[in-house]
Amino acid sequence: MNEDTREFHPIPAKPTRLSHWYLLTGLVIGLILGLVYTWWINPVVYQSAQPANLHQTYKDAYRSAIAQVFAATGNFERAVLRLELLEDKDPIFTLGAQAQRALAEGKEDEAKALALLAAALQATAPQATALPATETQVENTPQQGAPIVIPTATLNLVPTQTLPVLTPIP
Amino acid sequence: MSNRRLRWIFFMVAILVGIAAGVFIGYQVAPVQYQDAVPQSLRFDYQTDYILMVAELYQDEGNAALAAARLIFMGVQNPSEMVVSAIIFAQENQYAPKDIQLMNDLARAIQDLNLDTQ
Repeated sequence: MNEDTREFHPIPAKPTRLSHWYLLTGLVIGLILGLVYTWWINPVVYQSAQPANLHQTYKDAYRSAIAQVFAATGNFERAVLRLELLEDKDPIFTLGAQAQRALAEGKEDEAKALALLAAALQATAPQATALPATETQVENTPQQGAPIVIPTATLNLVPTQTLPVLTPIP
Repeated sequence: MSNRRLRWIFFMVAILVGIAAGVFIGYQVAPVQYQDAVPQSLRFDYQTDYILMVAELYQDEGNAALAAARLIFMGVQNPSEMVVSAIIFAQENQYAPKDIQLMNDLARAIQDLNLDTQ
């Protein structure tokens, strides 16, 4: 056997075990692309929003309209139903705060209507959160020149738990 | 088919599956939530209720210009047309006759207002 006829035995390559991580990578890339498309490029367009989804400015206008209608008609039940649509966490406080803002802007009638509705809500609130009668005196119909009672956050009392009295051990 | 080519095909399939999952999540499971919606995007029954509120206030105040201003502020482009649409909706959905009458009065007042300003 000379140099030309010598057999060449290549070392067989070890079979490499390819991992399947590339599948997960593809899945994640696809997921990101899908979310980018649905959240930024072509998001869901709401054609039937609820009053609670309105921008704060419009919510205030909506709330103000509810209060003014209540002041004009005295229909408390309807006002409460409408107010619920705004999903305010604390409607009494929200109405009171808006009344203060309206008063600061010189919108006295609006402030009075908002305060009136807040007071009416306060009056129908459970006893635990109700104020003494002297602090929530509100007339049913607003009158010109009447003092505006604006409930504030501090007026919304939270019931506290009283600790049991310890009995002396003999 | 070579192993390398097969891997590329599976990779592309995985991306497509991911996109499908992403679209499903983005549209069905966790769609974008709008927190600052404009009044035009309100459901029509809510728009009608707002118009009814304006009509109730108009009955109390008798100020058609103020009523129109309230409607325009809420994004109503053509108050007169909008009130008429609301009346039709109210009639179709059996609103109380008194409420429909209030909206009719408002529609008339705003139409008169438009005639005055033209």
